[in-house]
Amino acid sequence: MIKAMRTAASGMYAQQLNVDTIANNLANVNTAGYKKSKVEFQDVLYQRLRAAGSRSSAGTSVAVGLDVGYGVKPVATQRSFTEGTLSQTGNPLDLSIEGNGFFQIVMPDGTMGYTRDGAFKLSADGQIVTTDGFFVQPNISLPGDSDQVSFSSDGIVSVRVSGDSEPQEVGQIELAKFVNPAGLEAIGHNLFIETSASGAPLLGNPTLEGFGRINQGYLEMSNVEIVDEMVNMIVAQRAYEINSKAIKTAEEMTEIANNLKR
Amino acid sequence: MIKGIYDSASGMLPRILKQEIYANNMANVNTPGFKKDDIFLEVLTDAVNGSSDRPWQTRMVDGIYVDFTQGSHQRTNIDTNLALEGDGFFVVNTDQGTRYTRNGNFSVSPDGILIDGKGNPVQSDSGPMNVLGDQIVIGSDGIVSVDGSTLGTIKVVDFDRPYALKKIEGTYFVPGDDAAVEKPAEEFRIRQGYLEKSNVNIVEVMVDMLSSFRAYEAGQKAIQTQDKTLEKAVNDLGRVM
Repeated sequence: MIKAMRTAASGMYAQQLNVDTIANNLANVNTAGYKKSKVEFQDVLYQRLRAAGSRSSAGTSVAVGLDVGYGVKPVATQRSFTEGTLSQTGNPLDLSIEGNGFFQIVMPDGTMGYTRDGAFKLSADGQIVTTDGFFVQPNISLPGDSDQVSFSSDGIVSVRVSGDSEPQEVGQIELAKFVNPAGLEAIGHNLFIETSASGAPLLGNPTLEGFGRINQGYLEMSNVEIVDEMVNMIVAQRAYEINSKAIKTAEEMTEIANNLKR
Repeated sequence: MIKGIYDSASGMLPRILKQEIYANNMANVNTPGFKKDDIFLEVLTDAVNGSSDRPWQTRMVDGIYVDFTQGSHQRTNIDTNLALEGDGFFVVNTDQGTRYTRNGNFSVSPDGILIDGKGNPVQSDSGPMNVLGDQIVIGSDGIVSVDGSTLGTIKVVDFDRPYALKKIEGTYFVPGDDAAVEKPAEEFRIRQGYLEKSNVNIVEVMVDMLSSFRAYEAGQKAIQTQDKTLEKAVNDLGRVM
């Protein structure tokens, strides 16, 4: 009887984690470049009370065994890298990627981070940085007197210096892509880092196969769908509830057993 | 009279196991590819004759079976999520041997192999399924094309007696005995970007749990009533007015 309570408790714990993840998705519904995640569940081990094929008292062999499961466990949170919708901002330093690539960012400790959030800014000395001030790799700096910056869809950065009639090229955006983006680790600040599951980054220029093209003046919005998350939340809440009912029923059955003797 | 008490008790005991099974089904109400368990009760034919019309009495657990009914499909939009419609199982190679599953929550390994949630390679018609590329399209017959070129077919197998499959940890199944031999599945359809949800129905499992619970309660009442009768027999019968 205690076993049924623990089994159902594992269900409550799993649904709690599910709601935690949904809440984080909903909190980031307006975060540019955010990728939603979902919790994956698996059933856990089965206790063998009687094996299938064993002999019954009547001398026949038992067709079905007696395996009782011990509940559920959350095994992973999987991030979905489907593309978010693009939102026009008009800001010349807002970039979005239409495709599978990531911008490369040098973090303050010198290691590489990857992001889909292309809301870039200029540092005091004219370099392209993220909102947190981390440098975009490869480093691109704009001349101080440039007044018009444009990014082509294949990532070539050109500026027009005031007084000049011809724009000049100042750099090239390079993107990274991964065999298994779902294996990337999110570290906050809209950044991901590579892991052994994601594999090493493959580098390439935008518009090359699979890297995607750059859209200037657009930001990629979060790929969280409110309706989906709401439905998931309802399902998680009801699953939580039903597991609590299983615990309550098991508890009442224990009480009934206790009351057998008046 | 004493015998009646034992009958009632034997009716109560399987309900405890039932509750454990229902609790496990409920815990897995959101586990993709999960197939619910149910229980066979056996009438003790050598017990009191005609007792089988009293459902709370003299029943023993005969076995637990897996109910393989189709779970509903949920859209995830992830290219490597596959849902099976109809018969069959995906085949996964693990360190412990071949495993069968209906949980199509797959992803791609760093070297471009289709793997399941535990990192084990999903099998195609010829070994592990290579899906290295950008655009993975998987047809309803399991044919995988990546960036326009066909790379193989996802292996889907079936068994003559699916109920001989044994459930193990991780939404995996293994054949319950040596007689179970895999064969290519025939009546199936793969849906890309969907997951097959658990086939546990909340309403159904709630009703089952309640009716089992009430049967358990009825067993208690039966025991208490017989106990009262016995009390009368022992204490009051021989008393002189």
